[in-house]
Amino acid sequence: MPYIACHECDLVHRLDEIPPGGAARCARCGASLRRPKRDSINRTLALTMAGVILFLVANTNPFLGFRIGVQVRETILATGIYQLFQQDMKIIATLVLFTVVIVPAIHLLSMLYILVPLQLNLVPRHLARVFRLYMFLKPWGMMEVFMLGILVSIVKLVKMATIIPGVALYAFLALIFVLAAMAVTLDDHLIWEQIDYRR
Amino acid sequence: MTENTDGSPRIADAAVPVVKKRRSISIVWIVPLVALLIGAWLVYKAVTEKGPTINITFETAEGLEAGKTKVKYKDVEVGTVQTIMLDNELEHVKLTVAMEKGADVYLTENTRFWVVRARVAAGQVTGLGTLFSGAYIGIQPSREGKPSRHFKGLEKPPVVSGDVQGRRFNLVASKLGSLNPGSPIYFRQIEVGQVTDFKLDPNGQKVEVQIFVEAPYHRYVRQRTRFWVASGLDINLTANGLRVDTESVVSLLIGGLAFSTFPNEEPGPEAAEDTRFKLYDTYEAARDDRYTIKRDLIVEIQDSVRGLSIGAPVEFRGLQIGEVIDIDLDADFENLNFIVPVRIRLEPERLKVASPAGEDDQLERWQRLVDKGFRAQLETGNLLTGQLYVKLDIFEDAPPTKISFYKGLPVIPSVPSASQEIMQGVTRFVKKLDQLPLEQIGQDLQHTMAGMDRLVNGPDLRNAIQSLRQILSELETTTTSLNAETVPRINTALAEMETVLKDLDGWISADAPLQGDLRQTLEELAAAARAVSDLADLLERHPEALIRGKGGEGK
Repeated sequence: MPYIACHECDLVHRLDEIPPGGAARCARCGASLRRPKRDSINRTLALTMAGVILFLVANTNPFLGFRIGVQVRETILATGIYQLFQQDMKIIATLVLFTVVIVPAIHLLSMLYILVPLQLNLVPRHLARVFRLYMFLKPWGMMEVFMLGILVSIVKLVKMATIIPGVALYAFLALIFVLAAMAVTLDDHLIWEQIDYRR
Repeated sequence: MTENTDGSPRIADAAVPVVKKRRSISIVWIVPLVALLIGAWLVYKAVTEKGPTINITFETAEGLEAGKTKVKYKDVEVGTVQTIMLDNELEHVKLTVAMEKGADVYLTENTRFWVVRARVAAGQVTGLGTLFSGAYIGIQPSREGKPSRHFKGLEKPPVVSGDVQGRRFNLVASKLGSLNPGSPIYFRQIEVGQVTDFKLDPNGQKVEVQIFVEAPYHRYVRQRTRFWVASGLDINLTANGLRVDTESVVSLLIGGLAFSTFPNEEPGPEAAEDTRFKLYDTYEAARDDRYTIKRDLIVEIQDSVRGLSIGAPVEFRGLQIGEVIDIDLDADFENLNFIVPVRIRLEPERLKVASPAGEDDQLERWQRLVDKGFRAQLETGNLLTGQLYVKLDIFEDAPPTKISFYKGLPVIPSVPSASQEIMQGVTRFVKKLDQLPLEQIGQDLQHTMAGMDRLVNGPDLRNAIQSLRQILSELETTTTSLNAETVPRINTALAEMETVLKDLDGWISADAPLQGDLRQTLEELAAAARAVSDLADLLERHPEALIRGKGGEGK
């Protein structure tokens, strides 16, 4: 029988089975203790899979094209970062690389690492460590910020050049939503519980 | 287990249902499925739309940029440069170009690539647009030939793009002159094509000029067509005045070619692609080279050949029938004899020969000519420049000689040139003049003059003149008396003579009695003669009649 402490007021509760769709609240302060998610592992895994595909698409296809006169310039995400690096904006380039490519990649990979075994009723090794890494890096995934930046620059560049949105842009957009959906469907308590149960 | 956890009553022996976990696929899996489908579609598209990747080498990558420079045909993009690298020898740049899908069909060994940059050449400005857009790679697709993926880029854009109909030809020239790719080609002063390229032949002896003649004019290039350089001005000073010819002002500036098929000649069939033609330096050279039969001869010249140049005309009675092609100097140190064998090339077709001789008859024909006095002679063609030409003619008084051979070629004997002869004559004359004892003559002459002087001014002559005068005056007196006395007598004598002549006329006129008498006398004389004849006859037959008389005959 698991016990749970309210993370607001530290009142310890005995947590019983919560019916589907229900939510457990703190008896004292009313903070949300637990809201079990339906079919969490399965759904998150599906979204992760979609995320991986979108991530690949977003990184290999043309991201944006500019046409000035007869000159056409097409970039993929990596060349954009490379260009930034070339133009001596190394910190920004590193930051973009980290927040837009590396973190989401680790995100998706760690999810796969955790969820695929769990789906098959196995517990992966170092689950706690990987999951903690995931939780640690989660705030650093800033694809939506990058997306906003892109949108702002597009609005600014529209007057100077014709913008040709590439496939990667749409994939990127979709990836943002998929990552958000993953965050929604993932039941972290459940993951931690898995460690308990299957030890 | 006696009671349930919720404490509800337990029904003994109740069957425990087999709880099967629902293994249905959650609807969420549609999301990755859609993503997968999109991804797969993208991959499929990328794979199927990917055209062939080719390599092009260039001398330089000036103006080219990886990922940016396009390959364009008729201003339509058909490829993009992917990478630019130096080759291992650091001599060329290697371009990897991703071509559009479907490019395979026209990527053959005949396909050409070149870099289009702004260029000013041969009176044309091309590629100005590239000043703003950057250079791009031009392609001249070709469906013929073996498929290829490796190309050598041209440094200069081809002058004629591949979609222009026409024909290419090669011209062989001794020098390039002012020709350049893009130099125009004229046919009857219409621009019909361009020079596309030129190169030195491997031996470095000739220049090969490649030209392109556009349709439909390429049909006028026949097998006997001749090309000549039409650059520059052709100025002719003739009896009609000054005439200036040029194909066009453009060709004046940038050079050009012209071609024509000359009249009086069988033009032959249309020339095939890549036919080789000779390129003549001038229109005249092209016009005069219609003679295909050439015959080389040697003319041995004893005089100086100063002023005789290779290419000098060989004339027969004022008509050019060939040219000098070589001048040598042959030294024979044993006899200290120097001979200049001048090699001439005759074009026998220029002579309208009634019965063309075969190869074997040639020599015999030359020998006959030489026997007749056929000789070569150097003549001054131009008094100002002293240019010489070889004159062939028949000199009736030339000493007969046999045709000899020099390096296998028949040698036409020569006679000294007319000017040479005059010079020799003058020299001889001067030499003789030199030998005259002029001083002696002068002295003698002086003597004579002195004697004459003495004679003229001496008393003898004066006396002589005086006596002459005396004689003359006496003669005058005599004449006067003669006039007074003698002349009337003579007149009388003449009148008498006239009378006598008149009488004489009367005597001898046809009806004069003298005539009748004379006739009668003659008749009688004839009768007498007949009688004598009869007598002689009788005597011949009967000589005895002389003794016995005529009567004896009757017995």
